[in-house]
Amino acid sequence: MKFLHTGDLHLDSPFSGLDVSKAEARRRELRQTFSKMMRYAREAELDMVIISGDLFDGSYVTRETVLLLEREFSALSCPVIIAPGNHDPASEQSIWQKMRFPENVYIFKCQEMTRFSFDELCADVYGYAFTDPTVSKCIISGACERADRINILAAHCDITSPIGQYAPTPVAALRAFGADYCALGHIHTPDSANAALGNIGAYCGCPEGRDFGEWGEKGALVVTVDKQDGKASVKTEKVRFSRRVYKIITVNVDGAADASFIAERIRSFVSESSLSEETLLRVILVGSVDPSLIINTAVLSEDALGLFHLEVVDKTSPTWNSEDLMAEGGIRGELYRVLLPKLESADENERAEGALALRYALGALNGDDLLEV
Amino acid sequence: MYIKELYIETFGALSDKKIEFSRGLNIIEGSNESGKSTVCMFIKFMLYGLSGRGSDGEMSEKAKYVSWETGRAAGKMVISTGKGEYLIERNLLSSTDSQGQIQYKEQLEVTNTVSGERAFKGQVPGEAILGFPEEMFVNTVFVRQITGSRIDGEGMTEAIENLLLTGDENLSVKRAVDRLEKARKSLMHKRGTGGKLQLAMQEEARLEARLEEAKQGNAGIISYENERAKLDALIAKRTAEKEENALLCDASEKLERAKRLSAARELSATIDELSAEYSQLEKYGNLSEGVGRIKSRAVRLENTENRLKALRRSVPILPDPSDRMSEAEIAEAEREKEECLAKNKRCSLFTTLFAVFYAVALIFDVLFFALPKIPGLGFADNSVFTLIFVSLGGAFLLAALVFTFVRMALGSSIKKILKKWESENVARLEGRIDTAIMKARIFVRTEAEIAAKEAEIAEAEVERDSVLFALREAARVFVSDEIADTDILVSRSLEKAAEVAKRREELLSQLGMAKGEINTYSDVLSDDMGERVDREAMEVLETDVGQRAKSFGKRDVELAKEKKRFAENALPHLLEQKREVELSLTHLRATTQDSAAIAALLDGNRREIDTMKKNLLGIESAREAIIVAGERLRASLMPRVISEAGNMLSDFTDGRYASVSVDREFNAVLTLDGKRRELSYMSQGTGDIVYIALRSALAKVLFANDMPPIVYDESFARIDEERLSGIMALLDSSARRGMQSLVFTCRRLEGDIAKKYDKASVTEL
Repeated sequence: MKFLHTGDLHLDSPFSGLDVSKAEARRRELRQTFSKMMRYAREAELDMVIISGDLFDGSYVTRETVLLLEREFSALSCPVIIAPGNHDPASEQSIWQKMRFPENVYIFKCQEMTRFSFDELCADVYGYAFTDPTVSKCIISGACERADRINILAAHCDITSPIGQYAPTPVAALRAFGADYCALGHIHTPDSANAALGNIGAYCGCPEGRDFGEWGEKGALVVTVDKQDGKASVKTEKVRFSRRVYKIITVNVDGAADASFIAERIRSFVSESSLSEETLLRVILVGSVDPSLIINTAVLSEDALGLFHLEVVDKTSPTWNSEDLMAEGGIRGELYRVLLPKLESADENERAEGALALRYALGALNGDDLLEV
Repeated sequence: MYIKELYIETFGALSDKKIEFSRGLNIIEGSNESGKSTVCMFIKFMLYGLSGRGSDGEMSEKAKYVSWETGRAAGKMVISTGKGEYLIERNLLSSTDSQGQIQYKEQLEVTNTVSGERAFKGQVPGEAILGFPEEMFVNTVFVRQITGSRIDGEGMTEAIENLLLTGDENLSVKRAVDRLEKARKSLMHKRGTGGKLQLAMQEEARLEARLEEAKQGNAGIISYENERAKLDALIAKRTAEKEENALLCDASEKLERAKRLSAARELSATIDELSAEYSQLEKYGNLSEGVGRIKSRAVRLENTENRLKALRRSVPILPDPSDRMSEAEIAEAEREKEECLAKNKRCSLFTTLFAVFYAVALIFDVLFFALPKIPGLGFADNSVFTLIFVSLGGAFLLAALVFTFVRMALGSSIKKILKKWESENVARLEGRIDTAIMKARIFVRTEAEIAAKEAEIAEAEVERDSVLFALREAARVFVSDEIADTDILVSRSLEKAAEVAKRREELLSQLGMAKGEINTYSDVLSDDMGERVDREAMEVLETDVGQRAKSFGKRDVELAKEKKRFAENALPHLLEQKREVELSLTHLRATTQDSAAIAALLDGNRREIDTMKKNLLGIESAREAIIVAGERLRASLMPRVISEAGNMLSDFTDGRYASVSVDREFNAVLTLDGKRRELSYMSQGTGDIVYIALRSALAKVLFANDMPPIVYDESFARIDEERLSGIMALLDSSARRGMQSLVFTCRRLEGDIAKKYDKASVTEL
């Protein structure tokens, strides 16, 4: 049996940090990614689609998305199995309970282990639903009932935190259940979680990144399960579906005394990195800059340099030529000496506060209009 | 350090300009716009280069001083420092790149004039040679225009405060703190309405509310659309039900009409039949009369029959003919009876006599025998006795015998009679004879009665026959069969009559009902209606609905009507509900915003708040740091500056101004001739001198190792001659202490005053 394992799309969730038009474009792209996956399932004639939770963001779902789901699911000839997660729980007022989905859609609606059987595929899919936004216990219990069938477990759960609020599930429980493949959802960047799972299953990750915490290419898993004489062999293949890629880079701007220097550094890095318009890039500025330089990240972020989105984060410290400042006898030097403990603090927040205080103080002494800062 | 000379190759509006300076007081005269400030900037250019960024909307220094004509800013300067004498050469070139952006390229060379070696390669000359940064140099070395207000009263206080707290008269801790406070208030408060942060937080609350509203709106839209879909499905269902049941009702109605027509036709036929039958029954005429006749005649017949029966019954039964006796026989019988009775009496008498006489005889016999036996009586051997007794006894016995013979004879006669009458005894004989006589008499009477009865019977029979005939006649109306038995005939006639009556009644009732009923079929029985009804029924039966309706019973029809009615009643409500849902949907669609977009705005707002909070923290930390730094500087710098300034003043005034001090409010106090005088109460000229002394003292304290020249760019432009003289004198005095002063002025006054000082040089720009 060959099926698509996906989840954590969070359709309709806002795209933070982008301007209104880009955010709207990203939401549209997210829906297109979903459609792309469904089209893939159709064209590859897959036997099943499993969605392991968080298909949409319950708080933000729109009618357009609901219509999209109905349309795409209807166009599939294979069954679609959905295990609602913490962001789209199957509560009483949820779409899962109120809407009528096409007949090929099978939705787990209660917070207990249940099963859907597919005789034509000789397969059983076990699973459960979140009915509330939090579940503080492991739902998985028992074991597969029919060892001669292909047994799949579809679950939205967290194997990384035993005291978490999102169905904390020990790997041992998954192993004990004995499914041939555990189709899990919840963790969006699952490399280390999948390493912990080994060959008993995988987190599909999110098919489209939504913020810089979900960097890199994203997609879904195409899983092939062959079972003979009660023994199953499982192959998983990651297929990219993401339209955009989030990327974070660090640019050192030591010695910068003006914004154009920083802008130039960013520009040259971007051109050298061959990044394209599919990229959303976060540039973290590090290094020591002129103390009086106030870095306006909003201005620096205005020119996207051919990328879809550029975001500049200032983590520089205003300590360039700090020796001179340190040696200065006047107010500036004294100011620097007063703020030095914060500037040299091991705590990043305190360092940032110290840097900002120094910039503000110098700006105030210079007579700069601080209201513009 | 001091500047020996400079050469401006091209810088701003100046070109090919060389100026040599003395070590002490230098007056550089030049008219307005002659480039005095440009020379000042050139000095800074040489030591620190030009800034590429402008402040407060102004052009950058590079843009300002790179010559538009030559595209260059270049020149040289020789300075003498504690480390040696250096020639600084700078050449700043501008060019425009392919994108129209101005690019700058600079060549810098510092050469030790003594050794000729390149020095401080890759370093900023000012920092490398002098050991202090550009800002400090600029703020300390360059003295801008001193206006009256800056030296007089509060201006002086502020200047001193700034100098002492910041090392720069233009850098005011108080103002910096005020700016920070203003920025803080801008974030937190603004005329009571809330600062940016407050406003952002209010906006956050508004966005949160909008988001919640949008989420609810979206959820509402989905819910309403779902509801509308359900309503649509329900409306379609009800409409289909209504139509289907309407068709069924219509088909049923048509079939019903056809049935009714058929029934009407049947009914009509029935009416015809009934009428025909009724007509047939009319032949029976007036049933009540007929029945009355039959009954009355039957009653009469019955009465007659009864009478006949009674008569017949009353015909006595002729007794046994053997009972017949003639009158003679009756008389004979009576006679015999009397005879027998009499004889019987006599016999009885005789019997009695016999018995008595016999008994007596017997008694006598007994006595005869017994009495003798009884002693004492005297009967023994008593002949009288014996005679009496034997006589009496014998008499009695004889009487008894006679009686017996008579009795026997009577008895025999009686027996004859008894035998004749077959009576066992006389007692019964009387009865027998009486009975026989009675029987005989009865027989006669009975014969007479019988005869009378028979006559009456005959009469009654005639009557009966007559009545019977009449009855039969009456009955024949109803029963034509020849029925011998009259009762049967009557009963059958009556039955028939009743039957006919009942049937007539039934027929009348049925006819009445049928006629009444057929009126209800008037709708189908009109002339052309029947054909149409038949046609419609046929057409209906050709449809599926018609086939279904065909099997409908009344209950089914009622059910179909009920369903149609239900659907008809439900539809307006459903349509109204749908209308309300669509109104709500329209309203929601129009008013509901994109929740994700709002969430993005909210997120942006929160980031802004976060940034502002960080900024606020930074501002507060900056404020605190400035205050602390100011306090520290005040603690460290002020005593030294004041001491140095005091020394300068003392030197300058030959001890008259022994010292200067500054109180906490930065009011300068001079010790003049041993007395402490507040500066604010002294002349402006004295204030100028104190200010210059403090300024110079500050530079000396800050740049302890190598004090740079103090550059006065039009600083005294508004100061009168008298005051100016004092200042010049002080500068000259300072020059003797190794402080170089460069005074740029558009007036000649400074030069004229300075000329009296041998260490001063006056140059014309």
